[in-house]
Amino acid sequence: MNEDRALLLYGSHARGDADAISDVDVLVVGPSLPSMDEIAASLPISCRRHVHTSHYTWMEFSAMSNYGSLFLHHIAKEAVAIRYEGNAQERLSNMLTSLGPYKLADRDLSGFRSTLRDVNTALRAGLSPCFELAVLGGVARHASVLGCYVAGSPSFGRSSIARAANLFGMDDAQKDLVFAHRFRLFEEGQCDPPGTVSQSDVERIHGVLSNFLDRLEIMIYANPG
Amino acid sequence: MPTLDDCLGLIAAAKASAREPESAYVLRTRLKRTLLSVGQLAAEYAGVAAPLMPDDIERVSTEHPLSSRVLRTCAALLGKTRALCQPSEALDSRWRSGWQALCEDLDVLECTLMTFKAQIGR
Repeated sequence: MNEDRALLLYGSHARGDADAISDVDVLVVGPSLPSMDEIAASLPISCRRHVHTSHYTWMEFSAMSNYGSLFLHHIAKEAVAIRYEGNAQERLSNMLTSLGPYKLADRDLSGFRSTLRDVNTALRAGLSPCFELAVLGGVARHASVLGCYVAGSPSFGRSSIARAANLFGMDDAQKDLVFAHRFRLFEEGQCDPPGTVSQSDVERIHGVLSNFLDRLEIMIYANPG
Repeated sequence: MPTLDDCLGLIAAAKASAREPESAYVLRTRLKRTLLSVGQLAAEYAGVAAPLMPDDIERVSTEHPLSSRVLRTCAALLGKTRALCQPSEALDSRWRSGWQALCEDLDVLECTLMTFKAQIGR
């Protein structure tokens, strides 16, 4: 059966800045996901380990393009084609070239702030500081990607935290936020434990990230649409 | 270490956020926190090393029947959470459509914890 299906490499391996802890990110757009063996066989030999696959149907991809998904902006900016089947190249190209601006920045900011409130509650209840720091690391990364995009300087890699901190005039926050993000990578199984962490460390980094979100909010309202 | 009531409270918080379709980002984290806390509680009850992060739950092994059941439920929920919401797209339309299945699993987990509570209480 002929199916329109696109396989693309994105993330650090597509950008050329992969390191020892980088996953190989593969996007599949189409009605079905090929087997992992088939996907791996399509990749260069150096990219066949730690493959992480994201699969979207054309309908899901179209829905994401309607709100100018940041993920699709990421794909449009950096992805490299591995293989196109059927009419996939034209369909993908049409969606990505007509991609509008991201429309959900306010909602994302609200989600980031709610997540920070949850972390506060969890810390007060004595839940795992290590996990809560990983949560903060995730917010730092997502807020940085959004901040860079809103500022007109898109950056989707791990370096987005440093770039956003610079754009926000918060270079001194970079070290803490990168440290928190290392726990996020640890949570995702991408690296060894980055070290020990106390509740007071997490509370301090929570404060730094809260200020970071304040700067993001200013950036969003200064750059509507 | 989380208490059983902490865990039940976390399940309730996850369910509450699921009623608001705009809160998928918050929900994902709440679910992971819930599963980690429940996994830590079950491991402690069984006398084995507690998971440090949610993904560690799948590696916790115990022959204690009730803890084992709780850990299996957590691991299944974690797998579904991972499949539904991929890291590169925090706010994924697929998350919303898959929430119903996750909610049913959370109900199972809640019931299992209530059984746990009844046993601990004896």
